[in-house]
Amino acid sequence: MVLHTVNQNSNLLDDCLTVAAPGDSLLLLQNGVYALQTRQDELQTASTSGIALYVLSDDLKARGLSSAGDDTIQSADYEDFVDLVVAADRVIAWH
Amino acid sequence: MDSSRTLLILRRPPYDSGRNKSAVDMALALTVFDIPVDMLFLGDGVWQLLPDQEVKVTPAKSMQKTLASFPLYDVDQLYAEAEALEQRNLNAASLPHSVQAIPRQDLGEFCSSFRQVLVF
Repeated sequence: MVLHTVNQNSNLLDDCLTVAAPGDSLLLLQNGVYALQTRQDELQTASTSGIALYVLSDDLKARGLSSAGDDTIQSADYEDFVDLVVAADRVIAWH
Repeated sequence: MDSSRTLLILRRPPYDSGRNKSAVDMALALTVFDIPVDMLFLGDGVWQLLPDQEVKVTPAKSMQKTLASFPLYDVDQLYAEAEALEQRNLNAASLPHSVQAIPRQDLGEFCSSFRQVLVF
């Protein structure tokens, strides 16, 4: 399993999703969390294809956003982030 | 695929930022330490593979001579996203370097075969 981290809401996310495979995890962080607001279709497709989606809750809160009510994506704190890194065979940091 | 290899992903067009040069520096530094390197050109990164980029009209250096020198450093194989080439009307066969196109659906498995993957 590969953990992908994405820190911008741009075509960086598209490039990441080009490489991400079913069974991988994707963590949105920093400005990547804006994808929750503007890239719902892509995220829904990724979720349906078997990619586990996470968003770093502190980065979301810092921007006045919330993932409440969005069941395609799981909120993650820094401890969860560490767990994801440890569980992954490798991490690809898209930045 | 040798699992000790490192993959560098280049996803930016030429002259876009210092990232492309950083990727080249990283590739050469790794090979100095006998760490095998492969490069994958993804999305807009495939624009870097075009031949005949006239460096004299830009203040930057072209990737072309650098890429041509890669075999000297044992960076023998370059890979590109097949769909990215198609969408940009580029043909892998017409590109000057030994570029192997990989279909998007195989990229996940391809990247998983490397020990480390770095994005530039």
